[in-house]
Amino acid sequence: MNRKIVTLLIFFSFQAIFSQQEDKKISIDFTSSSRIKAIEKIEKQTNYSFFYIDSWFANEKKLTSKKFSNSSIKEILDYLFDQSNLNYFVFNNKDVILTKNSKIHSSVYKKINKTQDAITSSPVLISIEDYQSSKKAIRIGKENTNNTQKEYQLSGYVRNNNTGKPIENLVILQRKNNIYATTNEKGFYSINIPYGLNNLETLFSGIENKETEIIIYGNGTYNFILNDATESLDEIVLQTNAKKNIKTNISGVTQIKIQKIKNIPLVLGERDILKVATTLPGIKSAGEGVDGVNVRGGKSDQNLFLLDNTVLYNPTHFLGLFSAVNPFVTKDLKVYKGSIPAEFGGRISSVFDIISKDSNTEKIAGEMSIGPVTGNLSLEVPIVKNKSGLMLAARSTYSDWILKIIDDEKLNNSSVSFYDFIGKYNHTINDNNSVQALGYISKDSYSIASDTTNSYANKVLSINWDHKFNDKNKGSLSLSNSNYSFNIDFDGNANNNFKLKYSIDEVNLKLKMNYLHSKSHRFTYGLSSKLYNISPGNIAPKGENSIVTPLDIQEEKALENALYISDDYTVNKKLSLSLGLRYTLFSALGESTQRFYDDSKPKNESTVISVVDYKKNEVYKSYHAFDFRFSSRYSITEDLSLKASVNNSHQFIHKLTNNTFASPTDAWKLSDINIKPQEAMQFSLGVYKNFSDNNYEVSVEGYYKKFKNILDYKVGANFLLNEQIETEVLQGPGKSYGVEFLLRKNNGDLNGWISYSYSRSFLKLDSEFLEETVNNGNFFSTNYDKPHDFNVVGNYKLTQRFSFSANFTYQTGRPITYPTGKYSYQGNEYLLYSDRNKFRIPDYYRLDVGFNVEGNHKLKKLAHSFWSLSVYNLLGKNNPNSVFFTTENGAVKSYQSSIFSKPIPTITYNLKF
Amino acid sequence: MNIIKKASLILCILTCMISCIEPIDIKDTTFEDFLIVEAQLTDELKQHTIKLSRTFPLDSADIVLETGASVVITDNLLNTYNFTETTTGIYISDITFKAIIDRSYVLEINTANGKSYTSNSEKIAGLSNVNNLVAKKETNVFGIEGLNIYVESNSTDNLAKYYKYNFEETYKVIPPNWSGEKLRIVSDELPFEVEKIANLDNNKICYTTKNSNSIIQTETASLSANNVNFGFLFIPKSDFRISSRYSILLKQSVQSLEAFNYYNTLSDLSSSENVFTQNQPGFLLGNITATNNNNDKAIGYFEVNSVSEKRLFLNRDDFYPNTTADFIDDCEYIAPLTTYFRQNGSPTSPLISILKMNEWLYYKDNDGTNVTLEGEYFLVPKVCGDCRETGTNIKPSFWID
Repeated sequence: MNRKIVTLLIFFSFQAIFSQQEDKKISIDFTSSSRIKAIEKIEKQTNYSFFYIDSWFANEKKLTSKKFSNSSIKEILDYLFDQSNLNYFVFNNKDVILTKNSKIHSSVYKKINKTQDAITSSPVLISIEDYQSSKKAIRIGKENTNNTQKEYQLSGYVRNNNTGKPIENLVILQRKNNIYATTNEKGFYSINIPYGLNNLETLFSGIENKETEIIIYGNGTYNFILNDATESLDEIVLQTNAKKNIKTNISGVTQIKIQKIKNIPLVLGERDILKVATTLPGIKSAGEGVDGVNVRGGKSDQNLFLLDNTVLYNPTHFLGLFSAVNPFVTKDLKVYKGSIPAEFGGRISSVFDIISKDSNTEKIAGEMSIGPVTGNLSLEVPIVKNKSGLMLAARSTYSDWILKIIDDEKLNNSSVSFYDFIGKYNHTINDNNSVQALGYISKDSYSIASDTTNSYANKVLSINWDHKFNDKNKGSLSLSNSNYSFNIDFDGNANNNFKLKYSIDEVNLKLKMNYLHSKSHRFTYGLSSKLYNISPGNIAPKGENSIVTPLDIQEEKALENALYISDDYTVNKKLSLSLGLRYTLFSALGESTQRFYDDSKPKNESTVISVVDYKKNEVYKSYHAFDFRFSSRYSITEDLSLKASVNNSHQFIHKLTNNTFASPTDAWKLSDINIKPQEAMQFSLGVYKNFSDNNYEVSVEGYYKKFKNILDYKVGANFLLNEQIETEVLQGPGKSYGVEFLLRKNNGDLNGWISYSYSRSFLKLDSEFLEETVNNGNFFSTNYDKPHDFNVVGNYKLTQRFSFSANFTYQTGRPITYPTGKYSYQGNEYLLYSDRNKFRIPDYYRLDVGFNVEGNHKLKKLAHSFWSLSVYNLLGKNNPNSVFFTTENGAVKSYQSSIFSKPIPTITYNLKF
Repeated sequence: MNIIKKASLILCILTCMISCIEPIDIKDTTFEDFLIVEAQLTDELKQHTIKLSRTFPLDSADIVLETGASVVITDNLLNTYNFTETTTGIYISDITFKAIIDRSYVLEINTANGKSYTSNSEKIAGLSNVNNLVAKKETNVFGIEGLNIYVESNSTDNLAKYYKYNFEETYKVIPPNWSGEKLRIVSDELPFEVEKIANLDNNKICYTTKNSNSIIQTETASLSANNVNFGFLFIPKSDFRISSRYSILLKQSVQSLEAFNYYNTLSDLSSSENVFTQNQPGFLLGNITATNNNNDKAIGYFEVNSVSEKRLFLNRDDFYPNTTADFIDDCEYIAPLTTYFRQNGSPTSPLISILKMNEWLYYKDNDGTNVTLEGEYFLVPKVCGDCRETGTNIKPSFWID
């Protein structure tokens, strides 16, 4: 639909041009012609002349067959250029100028025609030299060497492409000279920019960031028609930031916009931004039905998941099958896997920066979907028109009651349910101040065996205030609270019933300041103060007969204060650098009882030298950490760039897991006297190339990463409710390296990407004590060392209403510790296990397909709906989720568990209003 | 309803997570050949036994024993205790001795192929006595009625926090279809003839003894007092073991934390209660290591324990009077004809043929209650009439009726 709307909108906007011109009626017949042939035919049959560059049609294979009788030139041209990135402008009723990639050109001509009478000759547009020097530059005014002012005024309106309404408070930035302008309530702006080539960026939350090159020769007008960053039309979304991969100087950053993933078939009808992230190189899902992701050979606890700047401890529902953030309110996701900006800290592998949508402040809008497992509804309600709005969204499974209806004992005893709710209020007070408040809650509950119920919940609250001090300085102050908790409720019939509660709570105050110092220096600085409170476990007997002793593991408390500064330094047009420093002071606070161990012995209960009690809020251990973040970009040509980065970071919190995969009931532990902070240092280098007018992107990135103090466990350690965790875990150095390839096609009926990465990840646990040594103290593959990772994601648009999508994933099987023999010991037979992670489970592959049927495309329709049908795991590959071995009645048996061993069809109905 | 059906299909698959556990074949991996050491030194004055064996391939069932090794235990006062191989792989101390508290012991092994292994220095971790064994009627997690047997022990030794249990169960077996008479073949030719004679085989009452082979442990470190009250064995009400009189001898060993962890991990590694709490498997390093080769490994934990024993007797009637337990066999009767006249050919004797197989025993005369059974005598499977099939008719010396 979208392309049509674009075209339509453009023609609504510029109706005037055509109404002033008398259309001659043309009858013409195209049979299997390419567009260039069609153009030639028009030229032959009419007196229209076309201006274009042959190469635009060089690789065109599409043929057209259509008969026009008594049609206007407009109708014919609409038809011809509808499916292309070409635009046209009919000039003087005989010349047709074709332009590429700048549909909005027309407004320039319109204004210029009217006000300045500037265009008298069109060669500017089609001059080959000019074209090469600045392909997409828009020319304003007439180049006149005799009359060169330093600056000219550019003015115009900024409108929302979807609503046609003006966009207020949008910033138009000329970065090079640090010149800004802000639109008024009517969307009008006026900016003085230097003579010649200017690169203008539009900046506004919720609106696409668009870069436009303008060559100004005189005062003129230029109107921006911009799309919502989320609801915008597919093609435009893909076009935005087309060069971002080339231009940004951060390597290893990936941005995913929700709109882009609309057609990707996903599990059980949910379109899931985090799942899409795992199809990109360097980001690996820990497995099917497994919590967490592994980024560039990092552990699953090393990823900072942020929802509007607030940490989300568990971003997934139902063991990682669904993302915990409602897809309807997710605006975009940025994943930093290489160089992490200095403003982020506390996790050493990646940052997943999830930004939620702002509410529509003009009219009520909403979206809903009904699928077989979940229902989802979002609503945007304007509170004060054009100033504030409230967004509310809720999603839930209705599986529980269905499970109860089903007459199956096994299913009756099982339960799987989750819900999440998000509310966000955004208020623009004035040009310089805006506030936003966010509340989020998600809860999962599942019962795997009939006697254990596990549940976990995220709760997030945040308030954010953005303030603009002046044109050069702005700041953002946020206060947030994030809480993650899980409960294990064991209710067997024995006398050991218990309830276990775990909770981690953090309060974060963050100040972020931006200072646009000059054309080449942009500073970001600020501070962050975070208070952790962990209640690691509290076990309580359940029922009168329970003999379980109530136990409280001591609470943990710590303060993590950080100062950061970074400078985006544009050295010249080709070279830019980003330099960041972050200093963190981590203070572990009492009240606490800490054990000191004999350094000459392995840490265990018998080697405790002393036990010290610390008073409430007494700092009993401090760690200082200096992180440096360096990244650079060198543009070799306009669409080829080289990026390098060196990045160092620290993490003071660890997730304890003794499973071969992460589970929601894994506890987080703060660094203390015995558990040291984790540390990572990453070197990365990448080459980025765009070609065919940014339609294709290719990138190759390589990295090498060194880790320190990675936590791993001794065989069979029990972390839950262990008062001496330090005696159960080991810390050692790690290393990982890899090469990542990505080929992405952004536009056209067929779009998508192919990604491949080769990567390795190792850990070393060496000690002079045997019980603290794993695999003889040599480097061994981590649980998430999966060398080959290949993904293909493709969308194919059959017609405006029907589209087809598919994604294919292949991954090397996860390392596993395999039995290599058996032995008899004290009357029982046991398995002899190999060295840790010596073998691998079978490779993983999966093909999903989806088919989307959109509702009709009337522009003024009340609601937009679409059906999506998808089949998850079309090939029915029985991918093992885990492989394990047991000794039963003295005999060894091996099992695999899998989640989706059959193709799973789903149908979901979506409605947007 | 249709929607619900469809949705439930999806959910069935979704909740398949709970049930999609299927056996797979283990692919061939490199077999690793290591020494296994089973060695426990206790504070009992006796000749101690150490068993040496080797790992064997996954597809094999034959235990490979280690023969020809030299085995020595040395204490910190440099007393040495030599062990001599009496049967293949079994090494018994030359003298009787016992582990003494506060003394530490090291085990050294030199195998026939010249490899040597040594243990860490170990000593008795703490002392504790079993005070009592109690059987309680309970219903277990699975809703099954039965007896739960508890061990109660109180220790004043604060170091005795970790316990491991082994037990020996002995129970009286009275076959349900025992008869004081049996059949003797008088003539296996025409005319076929059998006779009833007195059963003098002493096969009515037997005693079956079984040793525990699972790892049973408990600890008091997490309890408020150092008192063990631990249900270590559940016997379902219908279990044949408690069909009449039952006895259990429990042996409690006080372990060190390291030994406790070793066995705890070993137990964890070999059981899978729930796929979601799967343990990280791995090579479990005990306290015995190869001294001259880093790639060679020894499996096992050399323990020095204080042990304490307690025996319990119980009768079924004290808990479940007027009920019976399920016998291990259905004990269906057969009644073969003494003489069967075939239409063509000479008559045969199914009864004598079956008696010659020595699998069936006389129970009683055919009382006509089942018309399909035509023969003169009811026969039952041997296990239903001869207790020696499941135990020994020699009363154990400890047995008290």
